[in-house]
Amino acid sequence: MKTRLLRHSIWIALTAAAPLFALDAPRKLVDYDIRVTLDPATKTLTGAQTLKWTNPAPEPVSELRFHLYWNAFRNNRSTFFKESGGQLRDDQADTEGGWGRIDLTKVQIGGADVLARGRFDSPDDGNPDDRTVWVLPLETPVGPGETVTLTMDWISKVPKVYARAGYVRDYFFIGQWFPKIGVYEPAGMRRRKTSGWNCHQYHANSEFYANFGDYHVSITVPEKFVVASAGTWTGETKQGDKKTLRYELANVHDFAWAADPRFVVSESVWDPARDLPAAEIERAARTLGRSKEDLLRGMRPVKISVYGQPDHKPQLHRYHDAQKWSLTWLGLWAFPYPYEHISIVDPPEDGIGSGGMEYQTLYTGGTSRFFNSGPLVGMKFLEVVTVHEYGHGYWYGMVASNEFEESWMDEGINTFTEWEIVDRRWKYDLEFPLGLGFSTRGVMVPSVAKKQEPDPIVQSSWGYVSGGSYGNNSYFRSGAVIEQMRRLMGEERFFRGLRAYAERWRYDHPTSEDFFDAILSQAEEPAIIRGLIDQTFYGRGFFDVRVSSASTTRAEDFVGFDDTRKAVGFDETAGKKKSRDPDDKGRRFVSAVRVIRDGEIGVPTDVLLTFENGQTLTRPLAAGNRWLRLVVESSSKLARVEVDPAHKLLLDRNPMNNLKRLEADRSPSAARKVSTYLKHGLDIVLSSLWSAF
Amino acid sequence: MNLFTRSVAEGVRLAARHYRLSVLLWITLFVSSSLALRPLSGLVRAVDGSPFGERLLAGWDGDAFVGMLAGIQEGLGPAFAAIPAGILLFALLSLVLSTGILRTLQQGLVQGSMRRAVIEGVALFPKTFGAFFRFGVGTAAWLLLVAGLPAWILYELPGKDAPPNNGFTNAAILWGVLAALAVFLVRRARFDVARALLAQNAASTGRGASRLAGRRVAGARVAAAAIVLFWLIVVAILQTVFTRLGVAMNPQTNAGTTGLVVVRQIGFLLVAFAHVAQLGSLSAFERLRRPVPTPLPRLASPG
Repeated sequence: MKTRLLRHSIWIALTAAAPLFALDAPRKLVDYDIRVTLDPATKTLTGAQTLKWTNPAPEPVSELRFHLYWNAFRNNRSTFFKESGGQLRDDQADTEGGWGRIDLTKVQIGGADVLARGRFDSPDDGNPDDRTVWVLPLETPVGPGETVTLTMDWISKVPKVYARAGYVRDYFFIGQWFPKIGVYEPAGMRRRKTSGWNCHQYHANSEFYANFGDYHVSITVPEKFVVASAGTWTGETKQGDKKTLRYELANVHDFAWAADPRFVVSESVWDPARDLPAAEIERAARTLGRSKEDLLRGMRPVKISVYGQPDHKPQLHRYHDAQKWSLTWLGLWAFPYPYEHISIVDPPEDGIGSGGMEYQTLYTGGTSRFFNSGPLVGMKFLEVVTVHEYGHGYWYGMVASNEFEESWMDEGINTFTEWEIVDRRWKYDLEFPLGLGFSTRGVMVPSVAKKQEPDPIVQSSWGYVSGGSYGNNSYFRSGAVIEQMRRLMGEERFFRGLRAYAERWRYDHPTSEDFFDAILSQAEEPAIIRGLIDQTFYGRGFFDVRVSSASTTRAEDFVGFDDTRKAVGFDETAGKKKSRDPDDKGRRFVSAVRVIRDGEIGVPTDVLLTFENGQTLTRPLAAGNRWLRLVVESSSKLARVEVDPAHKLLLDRNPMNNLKRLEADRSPSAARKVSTYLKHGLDIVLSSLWSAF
Repeated sequence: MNLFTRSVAEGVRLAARHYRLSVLLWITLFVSSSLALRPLSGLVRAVDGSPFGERLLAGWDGDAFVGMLAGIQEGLGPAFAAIPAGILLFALLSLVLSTGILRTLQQGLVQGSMRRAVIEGVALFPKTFGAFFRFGVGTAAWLLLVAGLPAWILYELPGKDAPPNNGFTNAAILWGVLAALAVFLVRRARFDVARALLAQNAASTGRGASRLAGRRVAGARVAAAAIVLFWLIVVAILQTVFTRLGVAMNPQTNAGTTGLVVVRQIGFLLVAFAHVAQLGSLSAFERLRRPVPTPLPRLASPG
């Protein structure tokens, strides 16, 4: 008894509260041994699993909670279906025959059947028809640090590809497919005040959250199928026209796989000794303030397997290329990828609903045959989706944020790193002939800055007013605010903060405030960054810095009596003002400038005055000030006034009012140039009509 | 020389002799696009007061361009509305002038050819429009029948459960593109010949001209299509070369921008020349395809 108490005390001390140190390996609370058989003809999975779950809390747990995700596709009464209306990410659900489901057929604890004891629950919306959360009350509570073993059998009907998983023809993408236990959070974990289950229903806009553990998975499929798996292949047996493949995967919180007889497999190896550019190592070491040896510690070769569609064969090398660059960037700037392989599934074009979905060691891409070659080859959607989905392996996978409750922590941080990774390598992800192009960051940031959002960024994923608000806040707005932090803090401070966050929360479950703490710890002026956070992540604030007015006039000459009572500038006896020097020699000018900052977010910036003779004058507008009024006397006319000359204010709602040119400014006109090119564009269109008729 | 080369050579000769007609076409282009872009150019002036100006002056900057568009977003709707109006104006002017140009080419008038082309074009417009209508409707019907329908059948043939981008869908796309191109080339040649016939008063209506044009083209469809294709390629080359040149110039001063306008408009003038030459080529084709009058049978001499 004493030994047991001591063991529990040590366990609680190690796991209950959020640790103050970074983890070298995850705390494993789950262990799944899954055997599953796919029947492609009936589109069913027959599965059995042995689950070992360990109670991490200092108190006994009297019930277990499970996700049965595929019941989201069971009928049109599920919460997922009600929220999505049968349409998600441009993909339409097949409401004729495409329904899916998962039914538990046997649940045992210690050999005793407990299935009948279970019930469904809808903790988020009380929907009595939702079947995505199953609760199993326990006869004997699981004590602190104790492990309970369950055996569970189930049968699933694979849904037609719609949202993140499903089948089309003989292609199967199997994600969120097994009865998956929720997360029991002890008090202190993710800043919780009291312990409890974190097991939400499957919502249209929500993704996932789970504990780390090990997976041992056996997959039985017809012989002709090629299987792509998150795990490492450990063996294969054949029985008639079927085969059983065995996989192992440790230190993850999910397991996905795909099967298709048409998969074309393409493999390569990312070898840090060969594939890490010296310049990038140098840059990262300098910016992060780390030694090269420190950055390279833990780097290991990674096997990359692409499971491609035959019609995308000419593009498969692009998956490898984008994957290798992502391994390089995230490995250097966050931390090295710890697994020995990564699998990329290229879905067929009629199964694109399963595209762009991520797990730590497997993700789905997506492309079209029209990008194989020809004029559209510069559209780098494949690269962007590769970088993005792999990035999830960091910001949701290894830094295991809760996507139900704080979706921005995965999507937003990942959007930021995606923009950076794409920008560093390709600059433009939409490349057109003649060197023209656009970047997603360049396209999205102005609209984010301009738009008044109805929601703050930090929100449960189903709590946003609309799917559009979820998408904009979780992805682009949070990505843009993080980019704004970077520009305000500077490269070194920001990336050191990001690195600190990544390293501290690797294999752990952070909250929004954990990210902010890491960033703020590096900020030179944390109050400014905190203000930005409060007004965007927790508010709907904005700012617009503008040159309200600028003028320059000739300074009045001194007129009147000086201190010696001598008349200056006028004829005392004649009572007349003296005429000015006809050559205007020694003339002086008075320039008056007013800069105003509107909005709730206080950001510091500079105001740059440029004079006709080329001289410049820079004055700061402090974050706490709403305006700056300058009156400057000089020997030259004021030519232009510009706020934010270093272009740091990315979220400025209207940058068009940041500059004022005065008469003395004789710089060439960009408007003229832009208009000329626009005219030539239209001229090309019009003159092409001569060829048409 | 065969029918193709004789027609093309004659077209070039006619266009060179009547170079003013190319200038006339170029003026319609310049005016139409200037009017269409006037509101947008007014909006773009704001870029000089923004941080994006200097970046755009330095060269192409996608982020700055989008930033500028976002900054003038509110006015973009009305400004873009002027563009379809400009396109419509240009299309109408081109249609009016085409028959006038053909008549001027046929009559060989050099002095006052611009004025002549306008007057004749306006006079012939109702008939030209009739021929254009038949060209449009006929082309759409042939495209559906020859390109669209077989492509659709090929696309649907493998059934719903076939994987995407299979052999049938690839063949459907290939067939669709090639057949559509062939239909367009033949129909366009026939329309040009119809306009040439209207210009010489060989038909009293657009419908009559189209039918007569059909007879002229029949039996020499390959040559007729080749003429249109040839000029299509010439125009594509001109557009590519001058567009690349214009982009490479990337002016960073006001004088440089003026230089860009001059160089680029020379390109459009050459495209206008190619259009006149194409009309001349098809006019020559029509003349060469005209049936030779059957000689009267020789009367047997008495005795």
